[in-house]
Amino acid sequence: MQALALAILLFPAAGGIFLGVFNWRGSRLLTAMVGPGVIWAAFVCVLILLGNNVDQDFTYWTWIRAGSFEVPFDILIDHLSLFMCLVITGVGGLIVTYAVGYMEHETDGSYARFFCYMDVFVLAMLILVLAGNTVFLIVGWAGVGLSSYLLIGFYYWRRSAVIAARKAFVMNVIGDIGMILGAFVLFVSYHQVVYLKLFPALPHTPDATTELAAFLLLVGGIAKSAQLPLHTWLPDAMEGPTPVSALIHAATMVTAGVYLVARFHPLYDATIYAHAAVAIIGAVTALFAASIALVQTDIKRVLAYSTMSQIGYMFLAVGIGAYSAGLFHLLSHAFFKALLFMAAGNVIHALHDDQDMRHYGGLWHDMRRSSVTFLAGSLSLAGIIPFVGFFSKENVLGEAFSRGDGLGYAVWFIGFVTAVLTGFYTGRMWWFAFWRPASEERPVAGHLHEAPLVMLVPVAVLAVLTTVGGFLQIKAIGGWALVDDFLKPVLGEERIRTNGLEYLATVLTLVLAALAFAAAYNFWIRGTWSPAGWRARYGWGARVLERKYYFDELYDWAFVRPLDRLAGFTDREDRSLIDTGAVDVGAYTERGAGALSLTQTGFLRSYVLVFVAGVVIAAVLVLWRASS
Amino acid sequence: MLSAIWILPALGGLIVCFLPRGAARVGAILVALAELALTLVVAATFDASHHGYQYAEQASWIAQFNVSYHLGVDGLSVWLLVLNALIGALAVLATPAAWPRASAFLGLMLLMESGMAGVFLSVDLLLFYVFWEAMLIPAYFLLWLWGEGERPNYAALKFVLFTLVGSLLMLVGVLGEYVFSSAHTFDLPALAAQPPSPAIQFGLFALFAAAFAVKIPVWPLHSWLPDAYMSAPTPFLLLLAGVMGKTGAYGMLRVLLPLNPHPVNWWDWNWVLPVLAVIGIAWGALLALAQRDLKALVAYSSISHMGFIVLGIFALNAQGQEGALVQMLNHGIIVPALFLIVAWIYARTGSRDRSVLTGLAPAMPVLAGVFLVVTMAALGLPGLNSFVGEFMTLLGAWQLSPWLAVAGCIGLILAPIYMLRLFQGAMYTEVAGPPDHPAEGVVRKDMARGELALIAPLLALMFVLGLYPYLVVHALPALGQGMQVLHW
Repeated sequence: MQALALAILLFPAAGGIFLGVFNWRGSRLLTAMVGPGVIWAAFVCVLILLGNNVDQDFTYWTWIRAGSFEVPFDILIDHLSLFMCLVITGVGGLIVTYAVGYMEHETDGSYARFFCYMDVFVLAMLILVLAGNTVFLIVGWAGVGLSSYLLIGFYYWRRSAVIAARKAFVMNVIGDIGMILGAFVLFVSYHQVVYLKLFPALPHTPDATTELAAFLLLVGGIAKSAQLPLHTWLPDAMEGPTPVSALIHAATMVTAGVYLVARFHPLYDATIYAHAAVAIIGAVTALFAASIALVQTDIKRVLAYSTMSQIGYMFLAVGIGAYSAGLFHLLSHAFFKALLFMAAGNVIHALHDDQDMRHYGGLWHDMRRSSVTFLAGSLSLAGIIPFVGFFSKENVLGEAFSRGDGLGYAVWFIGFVTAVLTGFYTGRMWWFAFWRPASEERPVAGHLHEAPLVMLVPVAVLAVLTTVGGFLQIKAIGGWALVDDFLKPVLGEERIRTNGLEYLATVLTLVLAALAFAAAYNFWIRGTWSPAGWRARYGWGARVLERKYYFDELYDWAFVRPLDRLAGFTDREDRSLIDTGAVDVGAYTERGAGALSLTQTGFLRSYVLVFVAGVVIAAVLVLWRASS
Repeated sequence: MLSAIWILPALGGLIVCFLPRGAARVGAILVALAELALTLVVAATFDASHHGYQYAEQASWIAQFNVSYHLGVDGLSVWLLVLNALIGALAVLATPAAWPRASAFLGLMLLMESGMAGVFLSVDLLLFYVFWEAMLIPAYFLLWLWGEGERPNYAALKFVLFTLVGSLLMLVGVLGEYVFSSAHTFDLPALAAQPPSPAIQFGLFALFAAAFAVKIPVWPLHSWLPDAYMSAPTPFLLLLAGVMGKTGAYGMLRVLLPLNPHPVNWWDWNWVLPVLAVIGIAWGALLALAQRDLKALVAYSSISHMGFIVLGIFALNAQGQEGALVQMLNHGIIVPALFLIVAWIYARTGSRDRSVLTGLAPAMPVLAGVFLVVTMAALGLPGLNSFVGEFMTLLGAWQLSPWLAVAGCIGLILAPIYMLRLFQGAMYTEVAGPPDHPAEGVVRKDMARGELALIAPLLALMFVLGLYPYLVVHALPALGQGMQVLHW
């Protein structure tokens, strides 16, 4: 089993090396086989481990040792890491298979490069969830940042893609530093890096150290999961190819922050402020992102903001201690958001890479299969019963509501408002892009080509999962809870719901979200209410939303430009102050030396010559004495 | 055995100087490879469980002053010797056959390598000083006679004056150790066992610290570095940037701290240097951010990276100092790789300006891939080598004062900004067009096999040291002499 656990990592590693080093201008067929193949192989390894009920920390070698600081290279297999591995390799396998069709227009070199990066990403993501200690976690954490960077900048001849990639990288490095400092605090205070030794050493009552460590780790979490205020990179990350958006910026990497809090739940359980901060950041981000999604016109950006918003729900859940509810929503979101991105990818592919929804329309008629799957994803996102999104979102909000304290009601209320907004912007996306008659600006006027089978089958699989996956955990209708049961060994018992009131809240949320979805029809199809009229009345609001609350402008003004100015200042001062100072000292010395010698350089060289002679003589002496 | 490590390149270098061009290159390569093999044998047979110097050689040299010819290796020096030999070999291999006055150039390079090997080998303070000076002489001539750019003369002079001032201070310190230590010897273990009184240590500490700080260089003594690096020809630059700066850091660990473990307590040098190191980390990174010239960018980033080494050394704990050693090796691996890449880009495009260069990746995909790995190593990506060193130096500094570690993190945030500007500026963006239409004027020539072979060992080491740094650091507890500051 030890070898099998390592094999989960070795398969994607081998795939990445093979594609990047040996097959980068080789056979396309081989690339198309190896790229997804290694991920499915890792999936099989995960299934075997699961089937054998493995629950163990495997140590392979000593990575770093300095005094009492000892970091092993270890893999922790438990139900939480296996759960994450299933999502990563299962949904990841589907998405990378889909990419075989989506990326077919790329040149040979780019084709292999794409799958190489994807395999490297899956490797890093698996390291992130399988790492058994805090330092190894950081390796995975930064590794996904690297692959995200490479894939956002995949079309490196587009300046916007290159800049977006760099922005994502730098923001994530800020998060990485939070993680690094958090690991320092944990090591210095508790002298452990390995989870299984660290967690029992943590105190059970809140103190400043645990709060500090939890906040520092949270910095890493919010950077990776695009939560406020380190979120601005995610919308720009849509510069990457659509399968990348589906895999990295929807299903897996951006949910790493949720995994982090769940993994470190003994730490967060021992804190008050840091734990509440997780819930509040999540709730506020959920509402913030949903409001921006109302006005975006690029379909991938709407999906990006909805991703931010849904991850906000997950943060909300783990922030109030409902860890397995957060992870259930993570799973559910991986299904329906990957589905939405890939169905949208089919459309974008057919419309020659046009992502502007204003140029869409008529898709229900022309691309029936992709549209049906997109509808399943939309209803799930909007939280309509019986799709998976309904059950998981209800689970999160139900836990918040039944918590019964101020924080619980506050985040429930924000989550409730967000759910209604989600219904509305999802409805807008569906009616406006898919249902409405074809736009005159549509780049392809006539008949559209439905996607090939290699792209349709993964989408169909996800559509099925989205439709029936909710029945894993049907607490909303008082049924079983398979996800809770599965994660119980790691995360402990979920709270039992105490009163019946949250079922009322559930019904209210469902009805209003459904009404909002339907109301969007009145706006964009029937024209009962006109979007233009609303814009005329609330133009300032639309502008604020369209400019994304001016965060990019703020950061540019507060950080980017001052940094460039500071660098310029340093450069000038280094020349004028430090260098001149040193050279002045040198000049005075030269004048002094001039008195001793004819010319200054002559002085130097004669010194050097004398020295050479001295060294040679010394060396000869040594050899002579050593031999005698 | 150890004598051979410095005598081989010294003799080889002298002979190569007088060989005709073609033979000189072959001879120099053979000498450098033999040197590498020799150091690898020492490293492979090194006993990590043994305390004290290994393969020691001792002979009386100037008996009346207790100066001895005493060589030895321990866990601190053994891998630096390998690094020296490896970079020396790469530097010789990177010298093209058509180099001007190739024989003398190669000979001097080997002499410089010999001097640096001597520094890492010496267990006698006076011997250390002799080698310290000896490595400077070939470096000066290499910079003066083969310098590039507008003012190679000026750069060489500045370099030598800075270093000589440091050396003279150190000479005073060397004599001071002899006079004031009750041991009355130049033997390092004996001096470390019987340090002078704290007040004397205070002064000696300042002398040695200044000498080593110039060499590393520590802010604000760094102003020789940009001029020297900018005018140094690439093969020489590999040795200069890759190894010579490490002799300063090595001196701090080998001489400065063990010989002056308790300077007076009313003024703590152990606080001054980490603060300067942190300033250097941020200062160098900001300077790198302001540069347009790729070579200058790498040179300034070097100041930032060396700051981590000093910070780790003066954290005065096992994590910090071990991190410093790892970081010395890392920097010795990464910076030569970066300078090689910059030189190759310059050879293909005739430009080193990141605002002019653009979109080279389609024309040279292999170079782009190699450059990507080196960039990631340089900005400290976890999993590659630099992360281990930076993580450990910062962990060490955190235990001294969390604020030092937090301030050091500024370097970690700025590194991706300037490194990605460097990498993306040269390799990416649209001006060169999509893969089928590279820009005009770009030489469509990817890396030659020889170039790939040259950088391949460095790339391999980035992965090896990133994934298994224990390979190197497991030897570190086998120290040659009592170092009060290292607690294992």
